[in-house]
Amino acid sequence: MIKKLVFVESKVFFPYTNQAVETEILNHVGRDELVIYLWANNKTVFIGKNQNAFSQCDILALRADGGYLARRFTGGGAVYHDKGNLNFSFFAHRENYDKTLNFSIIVDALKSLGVTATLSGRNDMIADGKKFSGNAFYESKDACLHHGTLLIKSVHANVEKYLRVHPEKIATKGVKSVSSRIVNLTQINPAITPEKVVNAIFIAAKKKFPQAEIETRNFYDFDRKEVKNLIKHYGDQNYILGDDIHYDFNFVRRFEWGTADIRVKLSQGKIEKIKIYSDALDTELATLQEKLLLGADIKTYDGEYSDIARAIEQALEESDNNAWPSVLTDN
Amino acid sequence: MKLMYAKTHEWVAIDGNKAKIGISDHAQHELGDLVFINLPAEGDSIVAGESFCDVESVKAVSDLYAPVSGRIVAVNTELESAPELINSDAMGAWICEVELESEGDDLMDEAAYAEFIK
Repeated sequence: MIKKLVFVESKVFFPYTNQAVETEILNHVGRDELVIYLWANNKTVFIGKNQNAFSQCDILALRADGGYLARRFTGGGAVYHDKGNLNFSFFAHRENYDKTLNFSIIVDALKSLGVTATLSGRNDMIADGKKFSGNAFYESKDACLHHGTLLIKSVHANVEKYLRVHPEKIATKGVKSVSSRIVNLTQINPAITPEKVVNAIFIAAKKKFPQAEIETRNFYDFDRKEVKNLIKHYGDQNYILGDDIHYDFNFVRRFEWGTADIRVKLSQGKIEKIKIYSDALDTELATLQEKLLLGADIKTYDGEYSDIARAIEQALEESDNNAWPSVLTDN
Repeated sequence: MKLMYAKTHEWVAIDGNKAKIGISDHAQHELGDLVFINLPAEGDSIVAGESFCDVESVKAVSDLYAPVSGRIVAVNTELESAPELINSDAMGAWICEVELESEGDDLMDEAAYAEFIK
């Protein structure tokens, strides 16, 4: 039974800090508590736990605009966050965990702001027939998490820009995103602000549990050392871009010598496996290219994993001279 | 061969010093359609009661808990590209095989488990 409501409001917009605090809350949620955590990020593309980063996000465009890429530990597809998108997280022990209750708190809160919200499928909330909230869930034998987005005044154009998937980048594995018609809550009621939604959620939760003790936990009260370690974890490129399962990706490029379908598997920043299928007249070329690229250290190229496709492309452009690709180092 | 179940809904088929592990039909039904499985690795040690694997379904990401302790000697890599095999045949779709060290506490036989999920 829930005896205590705990409210936590984030004071920062750095995605990895917000993820770190979210995990810290999950790890310490009390047996009789319902914790509600509200947070927003600066420009960030959030991919699902089991997604291939390259196939879901235009990482180069995102980084060029100073955006962040982050991977959450819940499932589902890629979403775009900015300060116009408020995120909510509900935490409870398994015996108190109730998605329907969580959804009803959000629905009640929005109703008080003049928005009629309904559930759509398992994971979405819609208003006026369009999606404004995507939800994801994590369940362990102890603590459970239900979190979701609320589009309030997010920049729609950026969703298109960063989540646009290049048709030639086809993930061989991993969970695919599904695109939806989306709406900002301010399009329904222009007076809505993230601050008003925060207050409305806290009020709606209190109404559900009039007997519960209320605690407002300060964002800075969490164990600093643990939060710091978690920030490092969520900001780690190996975590964000994926281990070797997530790294299996392929792309198709046209070169002077023909079209190539390139499949790459990376391990610790190096090309562990590579297969090139090309229509080049020189049938030995692909085999030679594979030999040249195998074991190459991609990580050292600009220090960014996101340049993998470009690095390989450039290497292949040079490789028809049978020269060692200058953009790669052999370790 | 001895078939046992954990309270966290994993099954273990023990045959001598080897044991195969999967999730129960009840568990796959509760999870819904699986879209991804993060398989453990061969050579890893698993500890009864601790998480050894996680799955993503259309509903949630969920941890799976080891019903026994031991060292993994085989992994059913077929599940990597076809996690839905767990939905279609939960008792046939084993996740990994371990060299058994010890059984977890509170394992149930088939009849007790059937009662447990009622």
